[in-house]
Amino acid sequence: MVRKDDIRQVDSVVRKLKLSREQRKLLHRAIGREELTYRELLELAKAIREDFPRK
Amino acid sequence: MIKTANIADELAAAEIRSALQGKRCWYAYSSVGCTFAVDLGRKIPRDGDEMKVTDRIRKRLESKHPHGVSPQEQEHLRFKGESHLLVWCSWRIEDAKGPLASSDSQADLCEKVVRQLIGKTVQRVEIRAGWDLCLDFSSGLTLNVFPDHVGQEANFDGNWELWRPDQAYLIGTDLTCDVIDCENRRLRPQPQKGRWQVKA
Repeated sequence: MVRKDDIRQVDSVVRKLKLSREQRKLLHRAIGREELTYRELLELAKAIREDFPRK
Repeated sequence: MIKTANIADELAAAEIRSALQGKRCWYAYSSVGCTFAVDLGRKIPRDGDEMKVTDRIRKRLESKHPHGVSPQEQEHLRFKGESHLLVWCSWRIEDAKGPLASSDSQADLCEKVVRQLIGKTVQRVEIRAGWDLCLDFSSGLTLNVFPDHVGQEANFDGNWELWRPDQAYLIGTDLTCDVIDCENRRLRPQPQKGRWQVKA
């Protein structure tokens, strides 16, 4: 199965920042194969929300 | 033989089939937790805001890979597929001899097998009850997707998504398909009842 802990972290960040589905899609692309800590993931998601704010 | 005759939204299913059938995969990548995405069909230039994000991705990649970003990767940072399939839930890819990898495989194997879809064309699309998705690709590869994030306690709020230039189809944890437009407005509300039926 998909690594539950990893995507649970993504879900948590998405909910915390209230990312849209399109921002979440871009976050998925941005993460790629990187192994990020929760804090790094949060910072990346914040940056994407700033870069892509309209939706 | 039992076949799915009616899923929650036949119209959405038909549109998804149409968006995938006959399309060639030109980019595929794996991401967090062995999730992955594929881009199919025409290459659509990314808009300005998306380019801001992909510029950020490019810088991150360049900082980690001193030899630079591959031409394929460069292309995907500038373009997106007319159909973008993003899989957050469980999946398996197999050929005629058997399974090659699944969402339970190690990350390196996931990446290697997912990338085998590049250059292949979707020859058959089947959507079954519960929004199970099966894509047969040229060269004999088959992708099976199994929505297993269900209910309010799901680890992740979603299963698989198909993105088109003008709208997206999102399979949720209640196993219904939300259709949203490019402004994130819901076009088709979830049906009130009758999530799916299996007919003999």
